[in-house]
Amino acid sequence: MKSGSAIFLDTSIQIARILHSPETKARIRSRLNQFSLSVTSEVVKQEYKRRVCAEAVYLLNQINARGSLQAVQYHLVNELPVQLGRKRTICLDMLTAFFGKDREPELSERAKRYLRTLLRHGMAQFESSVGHVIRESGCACARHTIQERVAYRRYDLGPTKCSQTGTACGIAHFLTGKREQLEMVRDFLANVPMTRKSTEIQNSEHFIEMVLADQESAQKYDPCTKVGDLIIAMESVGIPVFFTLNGKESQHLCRALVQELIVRPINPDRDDTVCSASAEEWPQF
Amino acid sequence: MSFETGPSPTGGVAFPKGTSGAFRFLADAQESNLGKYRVPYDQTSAFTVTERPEKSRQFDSTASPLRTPMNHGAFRRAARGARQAAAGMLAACSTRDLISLSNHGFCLNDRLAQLWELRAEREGDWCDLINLVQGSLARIEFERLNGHQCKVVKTIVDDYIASSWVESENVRFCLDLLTKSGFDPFGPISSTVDLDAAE
Repeated sequence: MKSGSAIFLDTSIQIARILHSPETKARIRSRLNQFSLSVTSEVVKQEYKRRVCAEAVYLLNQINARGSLQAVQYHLVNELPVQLGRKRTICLDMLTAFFGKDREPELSERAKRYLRTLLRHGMAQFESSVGHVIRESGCACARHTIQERVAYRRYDLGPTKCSQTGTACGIAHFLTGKREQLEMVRDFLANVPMTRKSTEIQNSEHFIEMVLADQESAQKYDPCTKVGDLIIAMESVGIPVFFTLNGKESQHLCRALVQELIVRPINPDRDDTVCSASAEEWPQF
Repeated sequence: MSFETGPSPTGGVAFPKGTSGAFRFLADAQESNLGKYRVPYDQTSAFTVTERPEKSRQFDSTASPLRTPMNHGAFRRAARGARQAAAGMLAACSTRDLISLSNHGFCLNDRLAQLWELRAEREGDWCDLINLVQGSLARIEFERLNGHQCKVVKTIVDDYIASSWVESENVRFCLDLLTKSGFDPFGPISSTVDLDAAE
């Protein structure tokens, strides 16, 4: 273990720790064991809630409407576009393998119980799974606790956009204190060829210009949903290592903020790609 | 006071000796009217258990604890078995008797399955908890469990699954305990092979 070392966990890692394959979970666990402190942030929590919990509610509704897991699987395959289907985080196929003796309606019941447990305790689990949660950004969406209105049916996940939270959103104020780091990112991105910039990185450049000119405009832009990676990068400032499953945006942001980047490939057979802050060249993601 | 069996159609109602015919007629009429109601006793005065209404038997009810004496007994037996199996796991682990550890582990799974069958009699949080614990233990290699993990299993079985009441906070605590000790409570809703594994 690196003495006194800390690692920042991106949303993709936090999701993978709960819902990816056992091999991926083991890989992540062994990486985290090398550090004395794992850290994440409120905007990561907000993204986690927006992706995992919203999907849990969706699946609960589908099971309620269709009555069996098989019908839900059929619906998901046929109705969801392939790309959206691949982005899904919760997988219900495994229930049969785990509870082989069970038949319907028991399997559906188990699935519903799992989804409900995820909704009721998932956010607390998120918090306790790390050593520290950075709350500097004052993300109002993350602070809204999930409320169960009708068991297995209706859940209030809270606002999903900064602009929906009124004065409770602290992102604009948070960014005021990160002016220097925003300028560092802006200057770095100015030298990155356009072909290597994703849409989100281009949006981030535009957003930085806008915020540096008028900091109050940040909230109206809904930065957590449109340039979430940039906000998370700002939250991670001061943590020497950034751990993610998606290096596409982080490769630029970590480079600009002089952080070490560790990218966990989705394939559990492959090793992590470690990009040292002092290295001349980084692989492209 | 002595009693005799009255000549009512039900044949099982006891009347005080010397009861007049008019009273008997009235008693018979009342007895027949009782058929419209669900009474907690039958004419032989033996205590019978009425079925709980179908609505409260649904799994998502927040029903009160055990009500049926027969199921109560079955629950106690299964819970006792689960506690013994969990204690056996811990004892076997401490002596590194891996075969015994595994045997007790499978026995615990069987007991948990019996308890799961009785879930209609339990509160929703208990059902959520046993679902999580079953999921955590369903596909593990018991031989690989360490002493701390066995202790965690024993704690959860003794203090929560075998207890008479489980609350939401208890589920959260157990979930935390399972995760931190290396179990994978959300394994059943996780992917087996990550989608892009063939990349």
